[in-house]
Amino acid sequence: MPLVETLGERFRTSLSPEMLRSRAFWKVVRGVARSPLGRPGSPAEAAGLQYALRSTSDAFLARRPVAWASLLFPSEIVHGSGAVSFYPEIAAAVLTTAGMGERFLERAAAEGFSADLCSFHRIAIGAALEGFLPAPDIILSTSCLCDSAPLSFAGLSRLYGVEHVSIEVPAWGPPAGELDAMAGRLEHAARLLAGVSGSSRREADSGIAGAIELSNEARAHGLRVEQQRQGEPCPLDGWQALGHMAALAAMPGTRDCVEFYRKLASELEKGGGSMAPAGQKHRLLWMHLKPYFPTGLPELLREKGAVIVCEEYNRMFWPLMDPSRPYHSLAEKVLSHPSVGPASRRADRMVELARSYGVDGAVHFSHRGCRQSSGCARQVRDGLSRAGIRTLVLEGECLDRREHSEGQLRTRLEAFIESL
Amino acid sequence: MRTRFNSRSVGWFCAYTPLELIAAAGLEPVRLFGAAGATPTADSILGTSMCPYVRACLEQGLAGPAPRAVVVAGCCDNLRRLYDAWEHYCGPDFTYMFDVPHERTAPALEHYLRAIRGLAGALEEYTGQPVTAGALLEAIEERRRVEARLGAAALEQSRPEDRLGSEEYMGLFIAEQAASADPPGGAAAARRAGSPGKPVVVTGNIIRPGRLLGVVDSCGGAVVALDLCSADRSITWGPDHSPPDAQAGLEPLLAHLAETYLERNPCPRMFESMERHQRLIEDCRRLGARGVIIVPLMFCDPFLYDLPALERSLDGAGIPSLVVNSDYIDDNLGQVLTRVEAFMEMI
Repeated sequence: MPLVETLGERFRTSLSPEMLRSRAFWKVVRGVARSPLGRPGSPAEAAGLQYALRSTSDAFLARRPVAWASLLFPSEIVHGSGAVSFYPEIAAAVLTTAGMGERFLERAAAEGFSADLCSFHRIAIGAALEGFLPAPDIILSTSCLCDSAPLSFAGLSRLYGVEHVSIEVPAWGPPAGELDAMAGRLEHAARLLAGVSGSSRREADSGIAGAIELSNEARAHGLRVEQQRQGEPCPLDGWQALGHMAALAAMPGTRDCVEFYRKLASELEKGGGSMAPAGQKHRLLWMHLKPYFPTGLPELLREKGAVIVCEEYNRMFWPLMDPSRPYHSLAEKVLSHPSVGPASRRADRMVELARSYGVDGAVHFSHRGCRQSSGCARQVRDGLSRAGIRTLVLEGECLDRREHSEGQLRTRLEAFIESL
Repeated sequence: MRTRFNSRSVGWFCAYTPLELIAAAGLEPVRLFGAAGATPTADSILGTSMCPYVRACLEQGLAGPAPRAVVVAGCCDNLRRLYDAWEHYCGPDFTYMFDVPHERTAPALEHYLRAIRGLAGALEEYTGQPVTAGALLEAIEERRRVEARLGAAALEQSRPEDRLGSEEYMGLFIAEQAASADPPGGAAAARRAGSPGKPVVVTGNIIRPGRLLGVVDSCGGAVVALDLCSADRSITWGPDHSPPDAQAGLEPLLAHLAETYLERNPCPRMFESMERHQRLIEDCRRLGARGVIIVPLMFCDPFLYDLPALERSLDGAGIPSLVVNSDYIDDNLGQVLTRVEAFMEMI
């Protein structure tokens, strides 16, 4: 076994919940992340990594109140309230990338959680039961994107004995008054969070308005990134960009988020450097997420000259927000996500995206445990096909490597790219 | 099971659908139980990692017979995707989807009330007739009469001398929900009232009539309660409910309807799952049940996330339980039979 792998394996087996709660551990990890050994080549990604480590260590060391949040819960509320955010679904992807997912999947299975459930949530549950997640002071979720977040978080809130606030997102074309109601529920969550953080109402409102201003600033740089990727050649491959999901979900509302997107936009405006894929023949739209464990699929895409120029989930999908109407703006942000609402809306959005990025084809990665996305993949594919965009529905698994079928995925993806 | 549909039939799927409102619009609510057997076309549309009940219903919608109108409670991702597929691929005259919140807080109640107001408006548009307070009150009263009969049957089921076979008992609910021409039955329906057996409670979401429950009977079980959304849990109106007078107009009746539905014995999708566990434990004790058979449908996220906690709750109360996973088709019951037999011997 090569030295790096041996060291990695030793690290994984020796990592304990106690280590994660030690200052010395985080000092070493942050040091390694700054060193040439651990520092990403891209300045933006290096900044993103530093933010992630600081935020995660703050959560484990309980330096500030910890708010767990689901992927679509607006992070601006958490940051504006002075709490530290922690996203268990993102943590599950990180743990998988670090080679630790299987351990927590097995723990969840031993507890009785069915393998039919989403692996993001099974890993989060397993990691929580093993003490590998920072203890929350409050848990926040939204009823969209999917059932899994509110349902699994409800159970985890009982495990930790903390309040769970779930924002009901009107799943079906908001009837009159629903935006006001949703804004009211977000405000209620902000009040509870302020209580946990020890902020006054005024401080929290001012903090959230400030977070929205930062979010707008980050969004402006994010749009520069999207503009660069709409051009040819595309300076950033989507397989790598899907690793930036944490920035999109967890960082808006922070200065770090502004810096991340500002640096990324600058890098891409200069051509993307090492991030720019070579030999681009086919431009792809990628829907849903990707496998976060090692796989040969990105190499296959490269070999075939296929580049993912746009990812459904990895976009500044929301409009500019008004800091003077913070909760209405944040409600609009949540409702803007392409997966909120009927499948026909999602299909229409994907057609718009495919056209604006000039793609040659689209891939819907149907994550095995994801009912909300996989259940309408055919309808989305049909919508794209009617618009003349060839689409592959690729059934796979994002985190549970045991359910991954590399050969089958390769064959289907290869045949699809050759057909473009 | 043959179900009659006519031009006034409105299909429904989830027990959080306010049937009274559909009836008040002059329509006939009919629960769909899905096509029998395999679901190849639905699988090609939804994928095979979706709830098998939903796939069976879509297959029914595609192949028929099926109603021309359906109302979908947006209770879970599976049902939301069923709505999409039904509207897109089944060519219906009317489809409507409404939100159902996950809890009973005041904002959640307001959310649900807005959702059923929207449903009332959509039904009015579909029929071209207003939903009046008088019609809604009449529908509520009719529903209360139906549920009083079902409640009496549930009470009889708890008494050994009056007890029906489990399929026969479930058939009472199914016949009422599906307007079935021939109430379901199989080998188990042949059991006669008063048959001896070890008392058990069956809990789950929905079980296809005429299949799995017969196994419980044939293994020496006597089902004293069916905690399913298609059986005991479908009873919404208790004797204490008194709806407001129609003179006050439609709005107070809609508010009462919303409150009553949210206050019912919760489905696992609701956050009040510990209350559901407690009710189940109390039912077991009151009815002298010696165990609980838990029947989760594959890919039913709400039930599956709650399942470990449910097992712990029952275990903590000293009540043995057995989990029997169902693919809704339930046509290969050999292994289930062995496991249920072993469970019956154990309790």
